[in-house]
Amino acid sequence: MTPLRSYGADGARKINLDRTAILVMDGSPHGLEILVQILSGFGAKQVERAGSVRDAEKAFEQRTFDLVIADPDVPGEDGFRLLQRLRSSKREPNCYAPIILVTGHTRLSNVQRARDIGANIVVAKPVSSKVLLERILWVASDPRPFVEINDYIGPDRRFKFAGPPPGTDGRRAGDLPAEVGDASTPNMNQSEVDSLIKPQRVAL
Amino acid sequence: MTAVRSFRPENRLRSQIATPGGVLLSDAVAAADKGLDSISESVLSAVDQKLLAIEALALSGAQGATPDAGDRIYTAANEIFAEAGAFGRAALSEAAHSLCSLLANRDKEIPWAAVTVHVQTMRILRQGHVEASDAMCRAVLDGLRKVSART
Repeated sequence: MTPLRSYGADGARKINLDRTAILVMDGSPHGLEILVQILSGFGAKQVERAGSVRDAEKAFEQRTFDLVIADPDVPGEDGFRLLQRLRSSKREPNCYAPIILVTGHTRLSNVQRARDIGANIVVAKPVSSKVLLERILWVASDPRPFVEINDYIGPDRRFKFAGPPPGTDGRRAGDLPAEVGDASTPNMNQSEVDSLIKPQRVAL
Repeated sequence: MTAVRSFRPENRLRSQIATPGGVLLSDAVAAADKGLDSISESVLSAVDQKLLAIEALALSGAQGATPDAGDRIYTAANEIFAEAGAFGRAALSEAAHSLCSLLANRDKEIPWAAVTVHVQTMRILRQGHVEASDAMCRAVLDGLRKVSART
């Protein structure tokens, strides 16, 4: 993950969350307070608190959010399902809002669910302000496209593109076969290659 | 083979954070830490309450009086892990995480004796003179790891 100093924390780089509507969900009131205090320090002025799945659902119906920060492990409720429903709801723009999952100790059964609900990134608790800021900056510049397939909708889960699986042509329009075929046009000769890198006078 | 739809929805956060105004990143972190300082006392006091609740649940759970004691202890320990850790109580946070791991497997019977050791360890780690000494925290955690390894 990109360290904060790479975003210009030592210099004049700023972050403006004045107009950013953020939904924060955490089943623990103190966990919620920790996240809200951190976001307020970052200058966020529109932070909606949700202490339960029901609160979050209601908020998604009533407001538009630009960022969701959620601990899906809400006692007695299924926060994972809520976030998955949000992604597949087609209710724009909330269904495309960047989601930062904040997780404490995670039962093995929930690890895969955390990957498959369509969150942009997972942040492990205990949360520090520096790490949360890094992750917010990261999701703001997340270059991955959204993909929709079967019951998954969210950012492409491949952080690194290593080509389609061996023996297949891939499923995405942009996938190229792993094996390179024969050239379809003649190779350039040396003078054509030279002309690509030779400085030339340009008439203005 | 199933087809994949790939698209790029608008990321409004991207444009918002770059609009003129705002705060320097270093100032943002400093202000957030100041905000955390302002709530540390109340959160750590709540951590103490959760410890007491876990202690009572461990007692009644071991006697079979509270059927969902394991789940409730797991939830409280998970909160202590996150909340003590956010305020620099790393040793207490680690002990709480260890208790969560102990209780995470719902198929196994709850080892109440080990739960009790975790609760006692967390109480010790919350004592002022232990919290202030890295060497004492390490020694207490070493003992806890040995118990966990045997469970």
